Amino acid sequence: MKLVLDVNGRNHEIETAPDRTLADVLRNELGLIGVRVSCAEGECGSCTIHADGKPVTSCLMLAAQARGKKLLTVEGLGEIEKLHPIQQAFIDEQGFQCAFCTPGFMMSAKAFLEECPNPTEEETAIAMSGNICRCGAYPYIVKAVMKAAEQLRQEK
Amino acid sequence: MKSHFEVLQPTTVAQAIALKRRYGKTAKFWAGGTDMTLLWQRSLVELDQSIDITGVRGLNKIRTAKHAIEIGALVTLAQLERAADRHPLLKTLSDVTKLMCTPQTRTLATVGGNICNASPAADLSPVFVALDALAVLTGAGGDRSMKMVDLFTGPKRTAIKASEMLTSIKIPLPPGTIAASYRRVARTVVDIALVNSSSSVTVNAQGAITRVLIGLGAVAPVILRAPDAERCLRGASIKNLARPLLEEAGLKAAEVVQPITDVRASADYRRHMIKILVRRTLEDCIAELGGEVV
Amino acid sequence: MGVMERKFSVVGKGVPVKDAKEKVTGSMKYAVDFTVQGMVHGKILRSPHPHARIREIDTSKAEALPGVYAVLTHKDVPQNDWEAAWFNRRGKVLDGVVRFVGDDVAAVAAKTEEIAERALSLIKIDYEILPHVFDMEEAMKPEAPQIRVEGNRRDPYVVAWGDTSEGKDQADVVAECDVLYESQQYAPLGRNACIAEWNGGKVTVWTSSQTPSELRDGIHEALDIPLSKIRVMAMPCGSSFGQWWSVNFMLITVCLARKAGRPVKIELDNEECMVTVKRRHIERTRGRMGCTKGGELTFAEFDHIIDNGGYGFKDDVGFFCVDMWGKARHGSYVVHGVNTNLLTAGCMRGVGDCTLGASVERVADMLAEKVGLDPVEFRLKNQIRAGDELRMQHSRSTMKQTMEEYAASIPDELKESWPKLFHLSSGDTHELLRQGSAKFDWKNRFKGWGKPHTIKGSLRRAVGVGTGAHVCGVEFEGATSAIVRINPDGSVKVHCSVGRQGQGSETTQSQVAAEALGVSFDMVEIETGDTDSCPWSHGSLASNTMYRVGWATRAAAMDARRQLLEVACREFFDSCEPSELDIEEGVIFRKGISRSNVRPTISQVLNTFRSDTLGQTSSITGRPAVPMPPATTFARHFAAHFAEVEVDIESGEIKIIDYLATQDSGTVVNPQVLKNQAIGGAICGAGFAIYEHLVFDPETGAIKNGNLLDYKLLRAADFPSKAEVLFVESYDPVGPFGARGAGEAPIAAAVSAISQAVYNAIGVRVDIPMTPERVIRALNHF
Repeated sequence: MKLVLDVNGRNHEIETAPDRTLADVLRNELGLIGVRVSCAEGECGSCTIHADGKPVTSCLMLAAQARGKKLLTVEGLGEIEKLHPIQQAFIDEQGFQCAFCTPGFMMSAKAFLEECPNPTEEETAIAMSGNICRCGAYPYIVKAVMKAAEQLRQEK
Repeated sequence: MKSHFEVLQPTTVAQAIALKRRYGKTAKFWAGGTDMTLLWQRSLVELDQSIDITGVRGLNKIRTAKHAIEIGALVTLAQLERAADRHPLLKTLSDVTKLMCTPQTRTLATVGGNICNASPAADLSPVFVALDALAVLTGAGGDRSMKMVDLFTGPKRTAIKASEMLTSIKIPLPPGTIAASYRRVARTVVDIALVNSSSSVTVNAQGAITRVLIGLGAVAPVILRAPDAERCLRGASIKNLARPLLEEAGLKAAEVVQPITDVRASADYRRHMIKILVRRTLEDCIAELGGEVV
Repeated sequence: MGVMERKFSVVGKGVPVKDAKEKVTGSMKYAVDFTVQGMVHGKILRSPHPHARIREIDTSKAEALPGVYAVLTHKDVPQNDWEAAWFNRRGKVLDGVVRFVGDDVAAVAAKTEEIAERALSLIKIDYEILPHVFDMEEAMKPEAPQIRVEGNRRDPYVVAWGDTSEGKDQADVVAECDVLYESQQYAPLGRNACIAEWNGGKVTVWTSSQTPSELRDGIHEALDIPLSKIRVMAMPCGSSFGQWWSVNFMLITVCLARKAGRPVKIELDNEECMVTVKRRHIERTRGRMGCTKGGELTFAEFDHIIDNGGYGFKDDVGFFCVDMWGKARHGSYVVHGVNTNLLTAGCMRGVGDCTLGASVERVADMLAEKVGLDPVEFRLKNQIRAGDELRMQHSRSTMKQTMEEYAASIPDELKESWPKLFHLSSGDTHELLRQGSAKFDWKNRFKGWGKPHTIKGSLRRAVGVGTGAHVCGVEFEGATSAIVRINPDGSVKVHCSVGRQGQGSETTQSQVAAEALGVSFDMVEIETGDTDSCPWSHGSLASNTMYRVGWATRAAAMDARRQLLEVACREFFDSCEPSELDIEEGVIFRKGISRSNVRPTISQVLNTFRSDTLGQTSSITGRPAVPMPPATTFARHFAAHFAEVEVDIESGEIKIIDYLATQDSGTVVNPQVLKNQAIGGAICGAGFAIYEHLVFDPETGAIKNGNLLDYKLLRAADFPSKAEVLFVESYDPVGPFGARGAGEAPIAAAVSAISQAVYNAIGVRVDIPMTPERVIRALNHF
């Protein structure tokens, strides 16, 4: 099956079996290792990316269903030379340990803050509960998201 | 060994149904995929064709009218989550969706998919049962409706025919004022319900209860109603409702359940909790209707 | 030991971790992301039986499948035992016997994963089913099916002092416990993979591992090839907690790659990570303690059983609670390790201290309640103080010299900082409890044993306190070393064998080296996983990294500094001794002389030789000259946690609503890194306390919840975001700049604090995991 995917602002033409998941295709055809796959059953949220601005569990989505959607992965969020405020906030508050879950958390955070730009700590913790951090950095993840919220509000 | 499949992407209900008829057993409807992907990966379902219905037009609307609320089968849980302001019952349903899976999975998961997956522990199922909802099924010959409580025929089994598709869920709005509530026991904040229950209470202008419906989940192969429990409260005034009446309703509901022990909870625990959850959902409804439990 | 004021330039600063940018941009590579050119894919065939022997194995159809490069069976691998660190696994790579459902049986290398899987299904095996045993106490009986050639039972591990019968006579009150701990699973995020590539008789291995040196040793033992022909490139891990040390699937990958003649990658899926690698032991404590009316412990007597599963070989769990509660006048702790036909069990974070330690805490609480003492008071009365003798004195039995010979062999310049062996050198729980209870407002929030401070409908709220201990690395498998190299441009590279599973070691080791050398943090780079350049170290286990590797890193840096200053003295300063020079921000100067114009940079000193046609050295390699004092004989780290819970007595649901983690790990090298460790440990302990446990099928021993839907991990909203951390920094006399180990005491303290809080909320004790159902059963509400 030929598939054209719009990823991080660029179109990619891929030849692939139709039954592959989106996460698999992004990682292995496009080399986007920031789309992390751990549980592969929709529990951990490591694979969270955006489709048309909404957070999606890419390990459960078929690649074919991403046709015509604008996809955003952590690679499109920011770069080492130019980090997104969310990325910088995670560094400042050290909202990670092993960081395997971090791209997924930041993608969830981005979507959350777009909908809720001035959240409370409690709202943030609930919103971040779709992602698992096994290392247990949650209080610092919440701080990072709150800090990013403040930064983004200031930028507006 | 996983089967491989091709993906077909119809854009209308008629096309989707035609594809299902054409390919028969080897074809399955595939919406958000949040259940289907896992079933397929675990070889619990075999298919040669996935009929991806996410592009089918017209099934993703929530309509509120005087006599009914209609939710299209392809309405995502995320959409339902955001519909809270449109009607008190949609607020109840929105609150339920917040307990389901994760935000990123809710973007993909559909109400129809959740219902068709027919898990006895599904969160929305007992609520729809407690709202006396109807499942609208579309086949080559047109539409038919059936009560939600009759739709579920066993764990992961429904009464949907081979080339029918669930296209919407209708919640008839009774005369008077209705409130509904859902309660469950889960482990961490993201979980499948270990045991759950939903009630709806309808009152007339004088505050007398005209109808009570109770849906019980994760305590039987299908969602149960509890007619004896429901009868307990009919006619009572919510202005000063006696607490023992609610406890009695809980106890009566517990009499009809047939829970099992599994990796999540024991039958004893489920039986213990169901009466408490029924009581609590009834308390919630009374409170929402402005009543008082004494 | 007091808290001492030190002025450091780099140590103590919350610098962002070295790999922060890679982490937040998703460019950080873990083993699952790694590929080599020409590699093929491996899959492992797993046992459907809990105990069986292969009578016959027919791989012909699998080998004939197009796209298959090799099929590996027990006939292809040398029959040598290899051992993972700390007796976590001892056995052959494949030996034709399977010892738990999911055990490794054979492996296939093929062009794609899919072909490899299909090939697995074509392998035909005739098994002779052997009797199995799942229950550890059944397995201890002589008539039980023997799982190991050495027998199921390890010799009991005993720590004893005094005479417990005398202690019983002295006791006014006694309390007992009989507690079973279910098995916790690492449940890692990040899974793992192993890639092995052979080249001319030498093999390179890439995998996520916390113990690079140990993995190299294991491959050497299994294959009987020289260590110099094995290169392990340990990569960063996802969360590990002790899972990713050396694992049999890595050895299989190495053997498979050799047979296939191609590089092979075996990638484990989530279920394999949860059901085929390792888990925490199932443990049972039967014990009792007694105290006087005044609350002084007169004896402690504990008998503790741990199940090693199919391949574990441990005879003890590290239980430093024995030291923490060592003031008991008489004591006897006996640990029994026994094999069962369940998944192999091994060390998981806080091993022993969050199980046996939790049992001791529980019995202590029962005694405190009987004599009317508040739990903080009881701990203050009975817990070890710095300077006290340690009860854990295992090293005495394996020492090669007498204590006097050993003491005499210590170099003079180190003697004054040498701690008194077998005594706690620094840090204890005293300040933690004092400062922690003040900050947590313990006096006002604790309303008495079994008394919630708030009742609202069916909800009960109460607080609890728990203490936990652990060691700071162990030296039983060898001395730890490190190398520090100073390059001609003044940049520095540290080589030390540690794990990178989120504990910030690449950063904190660099901070230690930078501080010791007098250079900026940015001038230091580090290699942690390449066994070709990193000297032997135990790795990141047993809270080893900061203490023992950090000591070695500092010692190596000091050696490099000495060499550098010798050169500087000779070339740049007149009549000068190296001890008169100092280094700051990479600039060398004579101490005490303000602003002289003789201030060469490191680079200038080193480049002095580059322009010399005689070609003398222009880079410096530093290493420790002597081994570290034996950490187990004097170093411990402690935590005291305070928790508030809310329990619904109708449903049994527990919410953790407030939390304070206090910890003494000596000097805090990087506050943000260490806070993450403290809270991370608390959350792991909290999960163990209220939800996490593996469920085994009673017929087959297979794990029924090897997935994240039914093995519940806490999420952000399950733990209070407002949780705080408080450090007491008792300066360690040996550790680098006064720092000590840190990773494991917090999980032990968490289990105890939350258990006690639940008891205080509802007045009954619940065994962990305190699931809603167990709470309701304990309340007899069925």
